Amino acid sequence: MPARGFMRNFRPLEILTEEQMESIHRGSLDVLEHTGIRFESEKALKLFEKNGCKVDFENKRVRFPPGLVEECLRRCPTSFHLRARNPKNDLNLSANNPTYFCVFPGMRTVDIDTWEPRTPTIEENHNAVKVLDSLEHVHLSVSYVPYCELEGVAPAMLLPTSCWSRMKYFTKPFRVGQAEESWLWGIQMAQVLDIDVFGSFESAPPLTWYGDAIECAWAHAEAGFPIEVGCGAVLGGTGPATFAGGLVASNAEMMSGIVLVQLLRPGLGTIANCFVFPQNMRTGAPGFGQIGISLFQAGYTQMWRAKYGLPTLLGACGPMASKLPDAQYGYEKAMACTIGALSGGSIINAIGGLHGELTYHPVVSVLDNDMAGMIGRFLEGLHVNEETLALDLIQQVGPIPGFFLGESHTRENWHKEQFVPQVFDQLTYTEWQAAGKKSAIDNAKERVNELIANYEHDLPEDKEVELDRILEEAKHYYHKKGLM
Amino acid sequence: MSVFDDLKSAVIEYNQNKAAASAQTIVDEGLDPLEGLDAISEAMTYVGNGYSTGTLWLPDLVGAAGASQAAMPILEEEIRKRGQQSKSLGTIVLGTVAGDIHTIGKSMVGVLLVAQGFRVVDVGADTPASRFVEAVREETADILALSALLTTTAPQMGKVIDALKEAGLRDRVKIMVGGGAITQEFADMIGADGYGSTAPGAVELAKKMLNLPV
Amino acid sequence: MPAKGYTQGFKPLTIMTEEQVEAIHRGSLDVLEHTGVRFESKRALKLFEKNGCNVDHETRRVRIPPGLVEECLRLCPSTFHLKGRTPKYDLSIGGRTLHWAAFPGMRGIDIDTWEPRTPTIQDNHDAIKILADLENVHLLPSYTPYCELEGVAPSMLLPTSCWSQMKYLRKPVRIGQAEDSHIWGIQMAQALGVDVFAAMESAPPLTWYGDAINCAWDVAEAGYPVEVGCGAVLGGTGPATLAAGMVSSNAEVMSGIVLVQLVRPRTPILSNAFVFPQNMRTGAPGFGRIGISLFNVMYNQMWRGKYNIPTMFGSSGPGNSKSIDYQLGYEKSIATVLTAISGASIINYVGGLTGELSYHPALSILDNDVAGMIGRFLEGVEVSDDTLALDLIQQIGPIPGFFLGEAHTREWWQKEQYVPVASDQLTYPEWEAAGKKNALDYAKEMVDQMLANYQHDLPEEQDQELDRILNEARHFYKKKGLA
Repeated sequence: MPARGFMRNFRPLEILTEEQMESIHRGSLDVLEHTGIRFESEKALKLFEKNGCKVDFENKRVRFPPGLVEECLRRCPTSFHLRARNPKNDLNLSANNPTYFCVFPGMRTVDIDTWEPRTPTIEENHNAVKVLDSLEHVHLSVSYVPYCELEGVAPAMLLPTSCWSRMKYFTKPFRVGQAEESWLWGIQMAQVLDIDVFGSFESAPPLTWYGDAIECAWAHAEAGFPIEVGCGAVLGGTGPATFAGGLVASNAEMMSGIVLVQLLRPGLGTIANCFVFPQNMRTGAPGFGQIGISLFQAGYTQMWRAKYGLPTLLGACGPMASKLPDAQYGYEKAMACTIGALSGGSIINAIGGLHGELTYHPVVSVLDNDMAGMIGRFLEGLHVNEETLALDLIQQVGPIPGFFLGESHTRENWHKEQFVPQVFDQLTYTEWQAAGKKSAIDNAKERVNELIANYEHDLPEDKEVELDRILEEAKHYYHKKGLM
Repeated sequence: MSVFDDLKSAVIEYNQNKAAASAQTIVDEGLDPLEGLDAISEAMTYVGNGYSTGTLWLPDLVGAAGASQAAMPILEEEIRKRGQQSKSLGTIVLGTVAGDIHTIGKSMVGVLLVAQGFRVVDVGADTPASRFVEAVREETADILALSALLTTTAPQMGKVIDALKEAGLRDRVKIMVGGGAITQEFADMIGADGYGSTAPGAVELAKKMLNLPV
Repeated sequence: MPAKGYTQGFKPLTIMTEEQVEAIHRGSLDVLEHTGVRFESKRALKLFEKNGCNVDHETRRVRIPPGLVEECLRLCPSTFHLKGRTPKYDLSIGGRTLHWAAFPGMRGIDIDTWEPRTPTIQDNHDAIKILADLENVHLLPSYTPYCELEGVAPSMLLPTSCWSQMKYLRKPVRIGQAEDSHIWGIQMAQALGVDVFAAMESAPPLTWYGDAINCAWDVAEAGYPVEVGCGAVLGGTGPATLAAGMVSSNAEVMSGIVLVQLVRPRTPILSNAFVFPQNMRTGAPGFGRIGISLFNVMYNQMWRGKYNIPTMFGSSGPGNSKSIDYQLGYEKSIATVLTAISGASIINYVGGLTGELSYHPALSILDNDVAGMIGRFLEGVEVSDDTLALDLIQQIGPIPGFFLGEAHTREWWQKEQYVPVASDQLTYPEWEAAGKKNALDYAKEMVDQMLANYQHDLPEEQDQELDRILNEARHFYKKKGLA
């Protein structure tokens, strides 16, 4: 029985009309047919040519007939299963329901008093993973999570080490990365634990796929694991400045990746990942935390859910502009996640990431977990029936001095109607002053410590040994390649 | 309005065609191409000031730089023909390191550097250390600017620096590094001379490195 | 030309089916017809009776026939105009347009210790000056920003607050409802030739007190709009379930609307919800809770979708956090964005901090940004040949092409993006070099700048008229033994 996630019980938010979606769709097919996409891989180029595409081998440019594109889109299943180490954490990924929440990484951790970044240790990585495994509204993770940089770990070994840490302490599904052939170890480890992983396949905008990404997708397809195809334009930089143009180009990239995947293994589970930002036009960086993210995501999710029928993963909900979890961070993250979830996003990739993709902290993951629960409660919507309409009760209580607090109806129903966050400040002013003016962050710090202390490690000894062996093998491999 | 004013306003208006045409007119009418470069420089300063005070933005900087780049080769060709000295602020070799295909960062920086009057040799993306060494030697570079976006490819920057040392060229060139995953600590650790976290910041850094007014 | 609100470019979010909407509507009519609503006002009881309602004068209970309810709902205009001090502050309320208002706090807050403190009249003036110049504040409710002022007797709080708003805000304001304060509000409005609107807020469950009734009555007769509001705390003064809470709240608001339409037909109405789930540990309203959002979205679906009457919300203004932190950021923004995209006409959002207990001008500057962000989202995505940019995509092609230097980018990026003003947008090294300033630091700086730049432009004689009216109020309450 897969993890329930949050079941939205109303029509999702839709900000595009049918006609607008059609215009964007036609635009994408046009780009695929006339402009074409660059694929840096001989074997990919050959595969495309064999299946009716026009391939310019010199410029590595592939032009796709619309019929092939639309057929491959149709081959993608609208829902599929991911097996976790703990079966109650299995996921049912679907275009429509449920909505799950996912971890978002940061390169390094932060000092929780000064908010300055610093490199985390492997032990800190393990502990952060343990917290994530225990958080009730975290359902899955992406690759190199939570940290991308670890003290004493050579760059080539970062992804394999991160994967190994998750294999040990995270009993929920996760993604395997595409850099430096790290999928070789990820796939092996997954097979040892007999769990599903999904592979990363992220484009290089505009309109380009590089070797790493293609090899990763190819390996996952051959192993039978689902693939997350992703776009990541920065609008005004690596993509057009307009949302509509950004959707045309991003969707075209996505579709070309999906064609490759579906040619390799028809019917393979495919996730549509959105990691698109407006460009910060002062610094040139992606515009983390901007409202433009939500406008793009809402349109993207609507198209991939309603028109193409794929589950979506919304990555731009994770990294924010603020450097600490303050009011700016609160509103940036909350709005992106809320709109993403309302639009019908299958996976909200948000928990724990702080600034850009540069920092992460377990305290933030605990705070975000509460926010996820709140949004999830909203998704579950309303119950309207005789019991909840309570006309007889309203009649019975009447006007003032009547009130509802002592009624059995209140006792029976309030828990079902309300969501009570775990770490947020719920006190009145006087209680708050008396309790030492504790903030949500103070409460979250305490919860992090509790979760780590109470974590129960339950991986069988022989599996643990196998994982360690594979990590050693990876070390030798990169050593031989001169990358260590 | 003189043709130099036309050239200046073409850059400020981001108009590549008009900038190229004005440059060509300067050449055809036998006017001083160095004065043409000065006009471009004034225009870029104006746009740069707008950026610093927040009234103009990156697309404006890059748009003006694009217009400059349409005009500059025409003027520089004429300068060479006349045997004059081009007033390049310095030569910068620029590229993304081996294994890394991201170009947007270095492209932004490159365009801004050219517009400021630097001579930029862009060796492209996924560039091996040996190619950087070769370019530094051949072009007599004042600055080597290295870009990397990923944590897995950033260490290549260290390899480039090692290769320069081996070739006896390390002391002859200043090295700046940049990219999403790069930090000041990393730059210090590999022995780079400077680190810029934004594209306009890289231009400022280049000027500082060569003791030019910022 | 009225002030620019934000016009919604896509269908509002709805979370109920047609059948659920009808069930709630039927339930509300049922409560009005059988349970009835208590009105503490002789003249109101007489007016209801005269118009066909079943009135029990002893228990002061009014039972209203469904036909009268639905007729009075139909009399409410779908849009109306509010005059500001000059036309650029005028507002056109309703339709698919959202306007923003401030949310009050009883007191101010020390921004370093987060301890509440009583503000002075000057603090109030200064906070209003900032609200006057914030582009995403279009109007104010009553007793805003502060409900408590040093040295001001309780009965004089509303008149003093109104006087301060009239002097410095330039934008429309609400008046009332306590202690006949609307009398002075009406006079001040007439002195300046501006519009005001009345507060008429129920006492849940199903009760109206004299203050609210008198305010609505007198203001409607003076020709101004009325904001009829409900404020149940679900599980306390209202049922614990959202559906029943909506039935009961609807019934209250409908009964208030019937009264106003009987007093003066076709009076413009704002339907206001200030409903919270109850915090079941402390008994206080559950500020910042997700139940607020569920209720507001339902409320919009009923009042905007079914009755086509403009709505106003206060419940997303305050959070439960005691400081301007992560919790406050998400509490306020989640509820506000949901309320906005479900079709609200006015959201009282800017500046309110904890419960209704604190307010700070620095927060009003942060909230102004968020209001702009939400407003930009509401406007939606433009899909046209220009924005689809197919030719440009073809021209740029794959890597190494990029869009930054293109004329299309220069032309469009500012129309597509919303760039917040008081927000940290720096890279890590820039942030460290700039002293690690966060959004609140920027907002604090802007408070000082905005106060320095404010231009007071009320004509001398109007300024004096306002002072005279305030003095009259003082005598009035003194005679009543209330000041």
